[in-house]
Amino acid sequence: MTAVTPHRRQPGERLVKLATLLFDEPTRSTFVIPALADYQQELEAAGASVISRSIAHARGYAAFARLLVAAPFIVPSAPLGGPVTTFVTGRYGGNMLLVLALALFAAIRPLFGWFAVAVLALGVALAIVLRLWNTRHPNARGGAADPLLTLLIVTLFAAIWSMFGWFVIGAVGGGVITAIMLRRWNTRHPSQLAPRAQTPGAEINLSSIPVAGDIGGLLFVIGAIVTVLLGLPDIRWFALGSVVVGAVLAGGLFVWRSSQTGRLAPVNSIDPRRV
Amino acid sequence: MTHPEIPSLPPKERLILDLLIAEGRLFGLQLVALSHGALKRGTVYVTLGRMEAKGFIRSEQEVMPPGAIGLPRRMYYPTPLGERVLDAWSQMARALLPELQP
Repeated sequence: MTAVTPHRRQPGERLVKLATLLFDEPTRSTFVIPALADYQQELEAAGASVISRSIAHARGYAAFARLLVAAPFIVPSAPLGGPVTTFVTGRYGGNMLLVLALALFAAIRPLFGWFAVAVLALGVALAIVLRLWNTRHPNARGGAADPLLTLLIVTLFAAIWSMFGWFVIGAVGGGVITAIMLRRWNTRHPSQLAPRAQTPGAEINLSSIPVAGDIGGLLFVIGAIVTVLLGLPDIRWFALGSVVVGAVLAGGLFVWRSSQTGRLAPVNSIDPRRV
Repeated sequence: MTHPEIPSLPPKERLILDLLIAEGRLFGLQLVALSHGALKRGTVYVTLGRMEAKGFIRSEQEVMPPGAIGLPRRMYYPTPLGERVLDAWSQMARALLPELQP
């Protein structure tokens, strides 16, 4: 009879399992596994010293966390998205959305209590439904989900009625009037504000909303600031200070960049057609 | 006259190519150590992956000795294309540097 040797957990095994959930195989083998191999190597080199091992642990986990956050930004085309994130938010950058959603929840939970839980749960459920629907109807994206989005907007306005009262009506009316004015202006000036010929995706994704340095972008920013100030009046001075500091910083950057024109272009970005 | 897209060579990729051409084959952690802080452990593999996709470097998985435990590391080495790109970039920088200096 042979004695059964208990399985000794290797350092980083949990991170490997976590990576399996968040990344697909090519990304794991290219980015994640080598980083975890380094972590194991450094841990082995640390020997029995508690301090050295603690430092190696901290470095390894910090490197993994940085990789998790940085990868979608540094390599946008990296096929990020393991089984969990792909199911919830799609193939690209899903892990980042999850991290942001959790951070957002942690930030607003003390302010809004279980209302925040309900909103987040509804959002996640809606995202899963939309994702499943889009996956099953790949050629019909865009129009079919509109009733669902309309229902969501109506629910949202009904939910915030108790907090903002008649302001909701004012916001809806103002939004409709602004939209009509923008549409009329857009129709009369098609050469300057022609919309891009693309079908909007059905998912709720702020990055897909075409907000640029135009009147639409200005309205978006002002609307966001006003919404935050109405919801959180205690931070009005902080918000005002942020606007002032941001304006000063933007002005400074503009002046500095204007004075450095021609010096800032990196050498290796020279257009070869002009050489 | 049209030209094909010429791949960019950001500073970190330049540094990695420099180190690999000087040292031959290196693991990611060795690159981080030799860079004296210019390369970070968490992001060096993303940069290496991008360079491999561009064809500047290649990598091989470490062959583990029998009985060894743990994850295999990945060893990186420059490709002829990577060496030529670094050489071309260095020549262009030398040629343009006097005009670009303030």
